[in-house]
Amino acid sequence: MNSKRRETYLVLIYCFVMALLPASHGQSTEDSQARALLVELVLGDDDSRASTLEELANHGDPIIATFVAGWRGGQVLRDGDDTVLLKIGEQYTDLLTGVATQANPENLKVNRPSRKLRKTLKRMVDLIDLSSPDLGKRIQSAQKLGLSQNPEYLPDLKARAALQTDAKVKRAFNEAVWISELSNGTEAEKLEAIKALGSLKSFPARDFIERCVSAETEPTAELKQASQQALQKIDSHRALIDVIGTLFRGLSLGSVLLLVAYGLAITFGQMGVINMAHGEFIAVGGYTAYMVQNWFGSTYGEGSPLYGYYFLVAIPLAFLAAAVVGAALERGLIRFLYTRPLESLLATWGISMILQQSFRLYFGAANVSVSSPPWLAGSLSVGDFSMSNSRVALIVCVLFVVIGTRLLLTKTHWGLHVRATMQNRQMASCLGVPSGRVNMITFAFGSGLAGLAGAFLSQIGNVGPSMGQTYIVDSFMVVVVGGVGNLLGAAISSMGIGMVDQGLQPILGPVMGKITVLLMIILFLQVKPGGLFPARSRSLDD
Amino acid sequence: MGHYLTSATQLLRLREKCDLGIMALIVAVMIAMPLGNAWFPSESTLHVSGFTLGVWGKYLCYAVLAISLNLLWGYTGLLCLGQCLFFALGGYAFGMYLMLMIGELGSYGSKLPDFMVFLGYEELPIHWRPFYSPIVAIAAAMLVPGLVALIFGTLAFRSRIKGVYFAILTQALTYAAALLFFRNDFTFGGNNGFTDFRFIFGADIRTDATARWLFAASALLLLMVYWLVAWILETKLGKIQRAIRDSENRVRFSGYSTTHFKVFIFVLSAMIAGLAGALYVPQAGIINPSEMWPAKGLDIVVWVAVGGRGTKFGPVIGAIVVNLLKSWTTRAYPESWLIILGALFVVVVLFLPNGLVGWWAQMKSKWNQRASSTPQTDAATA
Amino acid sequence: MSEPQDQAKLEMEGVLVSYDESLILRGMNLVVPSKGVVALLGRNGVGKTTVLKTIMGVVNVLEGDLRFDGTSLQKSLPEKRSRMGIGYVPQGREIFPGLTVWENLKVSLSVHGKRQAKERLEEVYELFPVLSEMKHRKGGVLSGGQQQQLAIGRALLTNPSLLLLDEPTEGIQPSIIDQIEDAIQYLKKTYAMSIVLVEQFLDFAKATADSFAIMERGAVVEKGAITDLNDAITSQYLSV
Repeated sequence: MNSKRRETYLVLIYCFVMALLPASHGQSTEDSQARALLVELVLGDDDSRASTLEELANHGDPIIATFVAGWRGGQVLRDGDDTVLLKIGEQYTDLLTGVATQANPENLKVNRPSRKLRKTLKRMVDLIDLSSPDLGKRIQSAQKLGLSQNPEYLPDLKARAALQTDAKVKRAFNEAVWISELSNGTEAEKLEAIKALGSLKSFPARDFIERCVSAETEPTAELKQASQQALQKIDSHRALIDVIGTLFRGLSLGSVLLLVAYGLAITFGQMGVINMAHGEFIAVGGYTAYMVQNWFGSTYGEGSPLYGYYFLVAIPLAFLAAAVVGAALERGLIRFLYTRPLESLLATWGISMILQQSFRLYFGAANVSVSSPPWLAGSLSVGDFSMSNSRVALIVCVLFVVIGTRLLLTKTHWGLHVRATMQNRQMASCLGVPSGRVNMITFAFGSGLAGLAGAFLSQIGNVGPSMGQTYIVDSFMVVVVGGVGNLLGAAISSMGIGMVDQGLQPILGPVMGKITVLLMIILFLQVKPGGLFPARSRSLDD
Repeated sequence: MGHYLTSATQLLRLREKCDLGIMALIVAVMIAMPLGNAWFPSESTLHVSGFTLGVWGKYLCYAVLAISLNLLWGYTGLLCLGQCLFFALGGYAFGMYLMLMIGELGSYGSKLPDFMVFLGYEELPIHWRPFYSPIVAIAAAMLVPGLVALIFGTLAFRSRIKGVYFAILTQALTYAAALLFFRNDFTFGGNNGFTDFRFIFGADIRTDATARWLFAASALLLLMVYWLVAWILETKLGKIQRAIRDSENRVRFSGYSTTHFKVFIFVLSAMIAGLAGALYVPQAGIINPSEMWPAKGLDIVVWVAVGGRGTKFGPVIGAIVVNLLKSWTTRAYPESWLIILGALFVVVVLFLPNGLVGWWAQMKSKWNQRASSTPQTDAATA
Repeated sequence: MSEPQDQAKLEMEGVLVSYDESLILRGMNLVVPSKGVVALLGRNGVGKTTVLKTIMGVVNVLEGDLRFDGTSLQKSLPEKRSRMGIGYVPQGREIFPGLTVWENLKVSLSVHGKRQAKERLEEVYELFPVLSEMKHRKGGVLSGGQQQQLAIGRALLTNPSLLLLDEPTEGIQPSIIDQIEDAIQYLKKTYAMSIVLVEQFLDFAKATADSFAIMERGAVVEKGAITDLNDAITSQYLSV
């Protein structure tokens, strides 16, 4: 049992690390400087305003945008000679300090910018995010301005590109400058830009490069050649990213399959029981996640930071809940049917109907919503490639499940008993192996894994009464292709099926892709009827 | 030891006897029902409504379907979870004919079936054209399932896929087919399938008269299939079949090619299921891809198991009893009918391994034993 | 039988056993003394293997009594009987082919306690050195003889007071047969162990057994001390 506990700890630790990652936000301290400049702007004359504006342009504080909007809308008021108030809704705030104040409306004078100033201000607001302290915003703004190819912004972009220190931001600024230059630059600049964008492997630049050398612009031969090279670079990079994307999606689908099929590989493969209710154990896990979520919601409130961690509690509980149901099913029904595998199929189908309907009666026929905690909702990007956190967490969890199960089976007495029982139930019993208990724990463990799968599926799919039915055929396929009774085979086959499925989808579409995969599996079993790793020990088919 | 042997033969003889008795009863009911519809006015208590006739007609088709599975599972040991596929394929084949018979009465007033107009077809796809002929449709209802079974069976049995593997693969097969039929561009009506039929063999499909002869046809099909299967069991083929079920290797070592036998039985069973489907569709008035959903395949297995796997009459009893129960519980306990049915399967599997028919025979023989004198049993311990 | 029967290890009385609908044991009577080897002899298909399976609890008794150390075994599972002290070496060895030799032995050790596990293991390794040499091989790759030694070793590690041996010499090379014979002699000498030996190889049975019981059609028809086993009996019941 030790390695089981270890596995759970590792999952917990991993999830905490994932949760802490996005928690570091930079807090702005240049707020007060910007406010002072804005007050100066309102109070100053035309001459001083020009220099103030220039200085202001280096600040990216969000208050500037709020202020400009208010100024143009007549919400900026002078209270006496040197106090400037900003009216937001019905509330006045002192522009300099940002503190809410009371004011006598009769003493206030609306202050508006001049027409000339307004134009400058608009430009300033457009550019304001370029200096935003939030690097993400800065990058977005640079991209937007670059893609607009508006010559007005080019000098600013250029000027600021040089100032950027962060590599990612600098890249975005340069990209923006070059894209803008494709339309606004000289021939030489265009050539440089194309080459640079090519080596940057910039996806957004692709269309602009094409447009830049299209027939109307009468491009030079040199430009054409450069653009061809650049496009080639971009395209091959795109192809690479696509392949990685497909691999990742395949890996992710494979992980889902593995998670739903692993429990089945244990109950079906190791014990020879065809559990048609396996899908309902998945649903048990899904609903457990749902109930834990609701409990956290009602106990701590949905806004509470603790609420985000409900999922960490849901994972072990989902395992436990499904394991308990599984143990009960084994004791109450399945143990009478070990010698009659086809009949265990029928009886568990009955159980499956009962469970499904019970879910419907208790939770309603519609799918219930299980929200993703914030730390699972985001995505992780590496270069041009991004993957959702929940998928990454799923893959990591699957890794733990596979390793944990392997350790359990090879390093514990229970594991030894399971393997002995699987290879020769009768002989194991004759040697004193408590087959009843071994069977119960094995079945509970397999069911628990299904519950675990359900908890994870609640993050990437629907939780509903018949959620398990979606996976049951696939799960059986995974087990049969892998070779019944072989967990390694199940792992390889689920990854293989996931990869092939995701590889075929872009070509054939989701439905035809799935059908093709099923037909391929049927054909595969022609060549290898026993699956990847045929079981030599015990034949299930007699 | 005497009573172990006698009880076995008694059981067999009893089974035969009660088979015959129930058989006669069922035939009588089969004749009486359409007559009750035709002869008695609708206010009479003996009147059988067209609706009831239609429902029972469907049950008879289910019974044929159950027999086809029993031929495969009960007597050859091949559990097919995709029997619903053959049933649905037969249904679709005959449904194509029925769709074409709607003619210009569809809601678009086009010669094309409504869903085709909706999807923007200009003309009938080429594979639809022969289905103006009912003969072609009926032939296709048998041949298409037969062909699918032939291909799949040859592939599966050649590589000696059997038992659980075969069950799971047939489930995957019907699952794949259902996904395919759900597609709109597969030219079979997608999600909605075929419905709103108007005419069959030139007659209005919605009249009682049509319901009567559809019922009669279903009853006739059931009888013919029942006798066909009973006859097969008496032949050498039937013996080999059961030998395959009990020990395939022994049959193979005796020099028989079990693959050929199994493929033959599989194809035959698929064709019977296809015919049942063809007769089912005009009575149900609809066919759609949900008929080949894996759950349907399991339903059929359940009918056979409840009635009595490997008994001649069990599947018929099972199909009718389970469906009656289903229709009663869905009305009486709409909330929990699935729970009731599920519990029934569990109970049957646990306590009635030979289904209702086996249970009946067992009760009979127990009762007989108690009635007969005891010396026989004493001899056993001596 | 000449020995006193007060402390019988195992008693079978009027046992009926059937497979499906045919009777295999028809009123089987057998008494195994608390010490010594009983050879269970007879032609193929007379029910010898079924007797062992019945004692182990693999098949159920339909009627009749089965007592071990005076307590009825009637309903107990094989695993319970194993813990009570019955060791079983089945026909065809039935080792776990996917487990290593060591793991095969560990199955017994894990159930039957850590007490003196090391000594017991040493003893088995001494009786069958090949098991120690091939510790990490999969059971399935061993030769028939090695598998037989593993099966016996595995059964010994369950601490049996009654050992059931089903044709331990079947299809095995002579040198290993000698080793097995030595092992049986050693067990007889060192432990107060009862052994039921089902055997076709008459010389082996004569060399190891103390008494014999001959079966025909599911019942014992002749029994006695092994020295009483004469040619008349053998030709009547054992020759083919």
